[in-house]
Amino acid sequence: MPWVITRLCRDCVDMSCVEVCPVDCIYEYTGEDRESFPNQLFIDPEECIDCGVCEPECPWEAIFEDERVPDALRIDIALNASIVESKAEFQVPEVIEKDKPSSEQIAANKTKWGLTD
Amino acid sequence: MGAHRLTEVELRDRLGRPLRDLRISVTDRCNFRCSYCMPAELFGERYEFLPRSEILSFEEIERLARLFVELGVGKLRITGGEPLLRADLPRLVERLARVPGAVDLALTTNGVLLPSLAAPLRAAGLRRVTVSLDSLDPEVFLRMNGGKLAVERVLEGIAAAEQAGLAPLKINCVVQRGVNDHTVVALARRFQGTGHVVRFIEYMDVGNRNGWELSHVVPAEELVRQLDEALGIAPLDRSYPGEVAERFRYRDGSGELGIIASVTHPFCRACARARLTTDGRLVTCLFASGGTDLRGPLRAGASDGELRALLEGVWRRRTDRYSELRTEATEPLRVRGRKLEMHELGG
Repeated sequence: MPWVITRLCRDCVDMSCVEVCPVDCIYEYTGEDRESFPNQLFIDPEECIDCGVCEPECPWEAIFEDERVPDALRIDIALNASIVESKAEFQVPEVIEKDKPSSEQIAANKTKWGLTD
Repeated sequence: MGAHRLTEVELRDRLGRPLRDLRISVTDRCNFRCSYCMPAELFGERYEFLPRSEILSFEEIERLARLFVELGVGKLRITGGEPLLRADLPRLVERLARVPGAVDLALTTNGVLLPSLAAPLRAAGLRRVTVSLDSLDPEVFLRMNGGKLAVERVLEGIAAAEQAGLAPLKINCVVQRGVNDHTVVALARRFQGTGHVVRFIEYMDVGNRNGWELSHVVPAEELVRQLDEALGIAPLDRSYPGEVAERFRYRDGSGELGIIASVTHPFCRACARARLTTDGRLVTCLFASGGTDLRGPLRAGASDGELRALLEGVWRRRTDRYSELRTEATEPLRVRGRKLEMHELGG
């Protein structure tokens, strides 16, 4: 029942989740294959301890428990899981403070990725 | 005792009990899955974590804490879930340490995050820490916490707390028959002479998930006998009325330990404790099935006077004495509806 960072994180990459994760299981991609691993954060499902601490910290509301990922974003469960295979190209990022998005920006980002609610 | 109590007559509940302690749950999340609280192995178990909008902000917690102190609370304890998982916790400690009324501010934690947080918490004004530690045996410990994190992590946390000047600590161990009862002497011995006070707690039927049975409880009497035979202990007087632990000293002068006989000697009669849940409900018993919503009125703009009247009213009507009733029934009681879970209440 690990948690999953979905594409709602893409190009937003707020680091609040990284800061609170008690087991440092949130990673960024450092390789060249941007096609496979876009600019977002990933949770290693084998290291995640299911505590759920990251979820309320994400200002973009991009983090879900695997069984609760909205249909439009379910493909990201496999994407998070796939980092396990190429772990050498992932690292725990250094935390950089970012400006928090407005509620309009959060809503617009969700719409962009096909989430309606 | 709150120096700023505004009530003319001391607040008492229906059974004559004052309001002295407030336990504040700051998150419902935890990095452990202990069998008696958030068991991981229950088939189909899902934790319905609270959405952030339902979690009280630090400002809201501080405001309620002030009101409780005005009503007589002298002791605030931060719990969870695992409270160190709440982002920026030292900021809350700073706020609570400033609440007028010279309150005693404490925190209960599983200890794992103390290496990074002990010093900032101490700097923010925290003075007392209780660490939950059910066994030193690596396998028993892992089995009890859902296989999440090794016992060394907790010992590192304890060392960090010592270094940060938070010692002496209390170390709480929930004793379950056939699970960790064979490891209690080793745990006591490990902290003998360190100044830390190990407290053994009878396993209680908190929440709905742990499949509690009376046969899982190791009665205090038996624990005392076991500890006395191995280490030599003698009873001490209670340090204040309503203290939940029965205190013992090692006969060789190497310190103190405590037994919390919550099942075999329930202390409902002296219970002066209220609980604030993560989502802002006031709960007047660990075995409650509900609570009074404070967040609603708080966010609807209630004045301090209105909120204080609400808190007072709840306390005046309080009649809870679940553990005494359980003793009379000798089995988990059927309460109306579902009891609150331990990770909502912070034990």
